[in-house]
Amino acid sequence: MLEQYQQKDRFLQKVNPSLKLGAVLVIIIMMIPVFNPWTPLLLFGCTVIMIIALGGVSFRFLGLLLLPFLLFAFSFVWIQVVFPDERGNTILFTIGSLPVSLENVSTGVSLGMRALVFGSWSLLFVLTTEPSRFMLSLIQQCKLPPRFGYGMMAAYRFLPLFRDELRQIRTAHRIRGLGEKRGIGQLKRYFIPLMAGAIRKAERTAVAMESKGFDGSRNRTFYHRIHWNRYDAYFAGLLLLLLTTIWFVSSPWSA
Amino acid sequence: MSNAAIRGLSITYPADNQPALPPLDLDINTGENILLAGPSGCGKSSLALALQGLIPRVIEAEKTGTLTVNETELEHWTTAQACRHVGILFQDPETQFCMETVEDEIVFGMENIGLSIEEITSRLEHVLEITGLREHRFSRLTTLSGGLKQKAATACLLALDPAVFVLDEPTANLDPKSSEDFIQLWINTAARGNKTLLFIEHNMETGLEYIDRVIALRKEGGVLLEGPPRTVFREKAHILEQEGIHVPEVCRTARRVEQEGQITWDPFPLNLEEWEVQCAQRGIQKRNEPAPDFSAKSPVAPPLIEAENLTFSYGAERILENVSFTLHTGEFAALCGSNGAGKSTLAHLLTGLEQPEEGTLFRKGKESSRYRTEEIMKQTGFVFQNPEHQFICDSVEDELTYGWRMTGSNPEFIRAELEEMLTLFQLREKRDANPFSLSQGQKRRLSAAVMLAGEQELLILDEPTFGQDESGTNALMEMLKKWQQRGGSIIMITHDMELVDRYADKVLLLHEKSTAFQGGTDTFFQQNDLLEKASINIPVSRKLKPWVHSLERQEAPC
Repeated sequence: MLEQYQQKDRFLQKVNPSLKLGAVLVIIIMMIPVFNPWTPLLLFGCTVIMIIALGGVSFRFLGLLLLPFLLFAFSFVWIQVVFPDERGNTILFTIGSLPVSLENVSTGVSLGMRALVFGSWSLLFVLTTEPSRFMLSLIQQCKLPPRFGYGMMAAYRFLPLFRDELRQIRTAHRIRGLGEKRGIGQLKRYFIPLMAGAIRKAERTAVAMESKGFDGSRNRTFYHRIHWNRYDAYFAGLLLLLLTTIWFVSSPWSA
Repeated sequence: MSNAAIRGLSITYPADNQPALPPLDLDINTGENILLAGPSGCGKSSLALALQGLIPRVIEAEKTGTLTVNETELEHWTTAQACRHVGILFQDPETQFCMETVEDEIVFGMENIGLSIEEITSRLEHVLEITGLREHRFSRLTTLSGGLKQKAATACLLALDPAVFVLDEPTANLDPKSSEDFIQLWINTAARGNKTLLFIEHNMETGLEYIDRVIALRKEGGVLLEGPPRTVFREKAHILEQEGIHVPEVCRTARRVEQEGQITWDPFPLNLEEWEVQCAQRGIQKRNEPAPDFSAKSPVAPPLIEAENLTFSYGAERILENVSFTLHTGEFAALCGSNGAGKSTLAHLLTGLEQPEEGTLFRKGKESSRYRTEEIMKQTGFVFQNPEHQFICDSVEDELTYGWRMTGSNPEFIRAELEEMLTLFQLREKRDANPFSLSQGQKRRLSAAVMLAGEQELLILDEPTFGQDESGTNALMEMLKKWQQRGGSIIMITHDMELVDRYADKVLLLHEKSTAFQGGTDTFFQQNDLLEKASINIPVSRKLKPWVHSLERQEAPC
């Protein structure tokens, strides 16, 4: 499912992964001093539209992925309303004997929206970036040592293997009559075979990589070059435009 | 011209007292195809790693003696140089890759040694062509079958174009059809360039006619014997067998009939075609002996398992459709079928892990749904492909008694049963060892034993002999046979038709999601059309039988 979107031939997919990662960091930093709820709400709306329009991700799929973030965001509002630092004066309504004030709701919404913005930008990155392109870009543009880049790539390949292995271990233990209880003891029992397998796999993969001439140095050619292209310029422009617009539109509230 | 010279080479891993590879002298000539055989633990794999310099460059181990390849001492090589001289193919297809797609992986090696983009492009095209992977160029490695994965790994090696190839048991995890294809690919490769090929194999049955020299290693170290395959398998097969080294089925039989004076081979046959050609020249005809009837014992008790039109899907995907079969108490059934035919799913249904969507499953005449899941699991053992997954205790003894302790059996009983199990599965001297520290074969035996330490009536095994050497397989099979004689019933998922022929009473073949055959083993191997359709090879020993019969009936040897 994820791969299907990562490999689409759309605008966001063509942008250099390092640039996209940089954009995510910029957004996070920019959002730190913002305390009104409208700025992040606006930014969140724009991000969702970008992911759908420029990344070709279906609305349903995106919504499904955002659901946990929404719950997380709502928990901020809830906490602000139920356990506020100081209760605001403008009481909107009461739940039972609990007064709900506009100020608390507003702080809660702003914190929650911030979480949503971070979540949506992370999704923008994950949904439109192929892991191997990301790794190549880190090595080629950000000068990450190949040792870590290709190591990460090999580790990434292990994730689905681990999932399968965990499933098999659970079935195997179930058959031996351990039931499906989940607890610390149970985790320990999964942990040992999983670790034993992981260490062996990692060792074998490392040997196989070295046997193909990999020595971790920068002394290598790149068959796939991740170049800067015009899409990167458009993306940078778009990001700048987005940030300034939001800045101006939301300045009356932030004053 | 000598390509590799090994002088007194010995390898010892840290924390080991014994060397993994005892001192060895060996010469390998340019362009030679060598089959290197030896019992488990004789250091074949360590030799492979040392030949490329991976020992001691990557893997820490003490190395003594000298090793020169193409007149260079290996110590002088950099990583990039080493892989231009020697390429290694490993056994496990899962752990040889670090990239996502076939193309990326092939390119990875060439990037490492710094080839130009033009060179990479042309080599990439070339290796995709000769390995037949063109249509899989952009496929993800995880989606490929084991056979295709090994072909992809081969393509990676060929792209680096070394002079010497070391193949470390590359077919141990492949089904027979894929291993045949795979060996053929390598033989074509060797014939194309003047390449040196070193096959390290437990049981090589195909491609022997292309081997120039067989080298057998001794467990205690050194070369047991060497020579051209025809000479070795004709004159020294008994020495190999004593050392626990597999002798190809055709050669073993050919040698026996020759010694019994029924025929004098010229040349000694290395495969079935050579055998048939020579018999034809001598005017010997195949004679089919009437196969002993698989007489179904009319059972008094209802069958242990009776499945009627089982159907099962995962989500929208239909896995099994109308599968029916019966298994009586005390029977040994083989469950066969190509990958993805639904064998494991059927096994899960029988273990009670999953429930059939449609159809009924009777256990001892009673509908399965009337039993509680725990009850079914108590009666049924399931041995997984990876034995480690089943281990939950810290010592072999605890592991074996776990089942009884759970059911609250009395300690006296447990102690007596434990001793019996330790003896039956040859784990006596390992009783206090941690299960994870055992050898591959011991782990396998323990994983089967823990499944029987209870009141199991049925044991289901998922490819228990994958990646095991000959003696490991034999030991396990003998134990299963003993357990069967004590009244146990066995269902074994396997690709190994020799095992099916030798041990199974009946066969259940799944093809395209439903039962294609169920019945006695002899009848099974007579269904030629069916076997062809399911791409199953009749075991060589069975194909040889009619020839052996007619040789034995001959009046005068020729």
